[in-house]
Amino acid sequence: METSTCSKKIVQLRSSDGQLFEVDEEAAMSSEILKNMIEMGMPSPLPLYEVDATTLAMIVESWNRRLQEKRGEITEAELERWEEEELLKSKEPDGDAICVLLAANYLEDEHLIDRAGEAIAHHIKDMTVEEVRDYFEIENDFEREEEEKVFQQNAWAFH
Amino acid sequence: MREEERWVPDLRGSGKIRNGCGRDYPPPFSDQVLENVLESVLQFLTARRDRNAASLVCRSWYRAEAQTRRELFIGNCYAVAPRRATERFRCVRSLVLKGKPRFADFNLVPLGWGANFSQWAFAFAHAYPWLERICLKRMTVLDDDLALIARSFPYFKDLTLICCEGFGTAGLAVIAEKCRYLRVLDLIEDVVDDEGDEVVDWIAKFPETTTSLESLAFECVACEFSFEALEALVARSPKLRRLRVNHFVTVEQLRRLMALAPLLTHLGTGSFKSESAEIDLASSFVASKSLVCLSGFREVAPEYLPAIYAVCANLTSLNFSFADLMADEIVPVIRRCHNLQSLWVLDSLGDEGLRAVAETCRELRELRVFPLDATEDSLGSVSHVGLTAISEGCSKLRSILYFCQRMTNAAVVAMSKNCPDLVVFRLCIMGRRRPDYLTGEPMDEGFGAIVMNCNKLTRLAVSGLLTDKAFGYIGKYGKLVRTLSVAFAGNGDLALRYVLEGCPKLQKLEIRDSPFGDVGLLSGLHRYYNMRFLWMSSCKISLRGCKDVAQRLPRLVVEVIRDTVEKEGEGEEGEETMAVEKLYMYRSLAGPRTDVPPFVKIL
Repeated sequence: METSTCSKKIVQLRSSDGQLFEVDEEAAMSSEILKNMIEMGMPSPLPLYEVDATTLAMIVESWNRRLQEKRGEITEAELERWEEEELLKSKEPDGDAICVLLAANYLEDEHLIDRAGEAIAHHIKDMTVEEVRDYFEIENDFEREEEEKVFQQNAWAFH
Repeated sequence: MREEERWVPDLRGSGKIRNGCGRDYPPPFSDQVLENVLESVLQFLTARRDRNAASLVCRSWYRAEAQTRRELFIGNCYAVAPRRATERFRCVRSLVLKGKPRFADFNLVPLGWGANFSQWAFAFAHAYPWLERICLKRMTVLDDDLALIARSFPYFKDLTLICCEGFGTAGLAVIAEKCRYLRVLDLIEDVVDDEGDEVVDWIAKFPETTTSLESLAFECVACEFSFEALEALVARSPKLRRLRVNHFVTVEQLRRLMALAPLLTHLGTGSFKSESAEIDLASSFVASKSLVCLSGFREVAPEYLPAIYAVCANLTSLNFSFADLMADEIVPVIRRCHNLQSLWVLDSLGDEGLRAVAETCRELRELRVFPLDATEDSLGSVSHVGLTAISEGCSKLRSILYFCQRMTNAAVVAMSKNCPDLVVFRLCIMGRRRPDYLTGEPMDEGFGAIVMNCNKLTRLAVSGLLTDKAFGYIGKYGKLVRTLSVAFAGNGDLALRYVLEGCPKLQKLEIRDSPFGDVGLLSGLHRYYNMRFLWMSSCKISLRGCKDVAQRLPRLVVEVIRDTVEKEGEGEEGEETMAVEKLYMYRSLAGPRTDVPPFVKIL
């Protein structure tokens, strides 16, 4: 007999490296991609080709917490604090915000995209160009003249 | 270089994320993914310094940043052509544009010099239909420009004009009438001149429906208007929180406005006097529990001042700079303002009044003391005594502008030690080259202490009797100084050299009535491409010196400004060695401007 009013449906997800995860269906709906898959009736386990197990574990936990907040089991402030300190580790240089951002983008989870984006932006604020490149491990693909032109335009016109 | 190396964050070799299971993204998909993700980060970067840094990381960052920059800041309207801005940045929602050099505020830049907004208005009308906000400082803005704004930007929300001129009530009327989503109309220290045209009652032109207005400031619009229209406007503007009216509004009328807008946070009172018998204004202030900022008080009737007592404890900002009052009329107000963070006041407050400020306003961050009588030989009422008192009471001070007749090194040194958070220090000792009042020494040590002890200082204005030594200190210790103003100071070229060879962050240098010549000017050749501008007026530079600079730095626009147009028949001989009245030079990507008036010569 159904006594609970909350859906207890579970979905199974498979990470890119083959690990299986069980998630509350309602929690998984935070992702537009998963929402579509579920509504289309795709069979379990739902494959997530671009998200590895470590990242998926973090994302799943964040969904569960959001569900808890939605149900009033934790406060909004507690959720935000967890996201900032545990999920995104905004205060630490080696935080996971980039992983989370890429995964959230793939999964189309707007809330997490914004949170992760904001954490990264906060971190790179006040960085020099070289520091930003190092942080993301990006190669400078400007031609020297191009780069000088942009630098000058920024300094002379837009600063 | 492989496509996917454009932006693949491989976290410090941890291998945690490596394109999922190591497959390569097909290039078009990966580009889109990367740009989307990048935009989610960039949307949170708003400071222009960060934006400029982001744009230099690599090509895809440059593109993403150009696509997502929402606020465009242009510090000198002549440094870049509008088209270059609109071609690079595609989605601008907010524009901040600055024109004339600051000494225009002291009437040193002749009318008609330039800083015309029209070409910018035209370019932006075409490029940014979703533009929401325009903030202009020291620009020439015509009624036609305002009409173009009103016509071109259907979502326009915020117009802020600071120290602008060229427009009148007709232009304001079009803005009022056509900008249906207007939230902010702030007219601050503009010259609004109808020049014999009929004055238009622009306030009556706001649409009859409920408005979105949050802020309306028109203290500087010295034109009469229909008070009934303003009253009705306030009544149908439920979101209005900041209202600053002009001096045509009496105390009776102010009372009626306050009754309609009890949630105001910022109030500019207009004249603050009454036509008829005394009315109860105090209850209006008692009811305005949200007020944190008061200004206006032009033509103050002192008997009404106690009416504001009820809000004093909540005030964070008080502008009495137009209030010609005796010290013992202001002090009772001051004594109730424990939370004041910003105070603008006239020097009639006196040293004793400043002592009251120091004792009461412990949270003060910004102080401006203006001269009631701005001539050189007036009997000023504040001195080194007041400055010392302030430094002892207001340790959180960040910004000070202080006009006085008498000053001592000791007082300035005290301030440098007691107020370590100073970011802006502007001291104007009126009267030319006045020394330390007590010792007769130059003011070198005082200003030296400021640059040595206040290591957050970015803006400095110096005055009084100063030798090259003072400038040596400034050059050596002014590591963060971006803006330096020099008036009636210095011995000779060495002073200018010290500054130009020091002060690594110097961007804006404005000098008047100081004995600096060509040698000093030329000592800065290595700096001028790294500065926004240099202004020199009534100094000892010659046309030859200016031409020299122009020749050696071809991307600098060197403007020689005369007060009168060159007379016909004046020979070339001797002209080269003549002193240049006004020099304004700035780096520019756009080359010499084409809107040059006859009294300006670009070398």
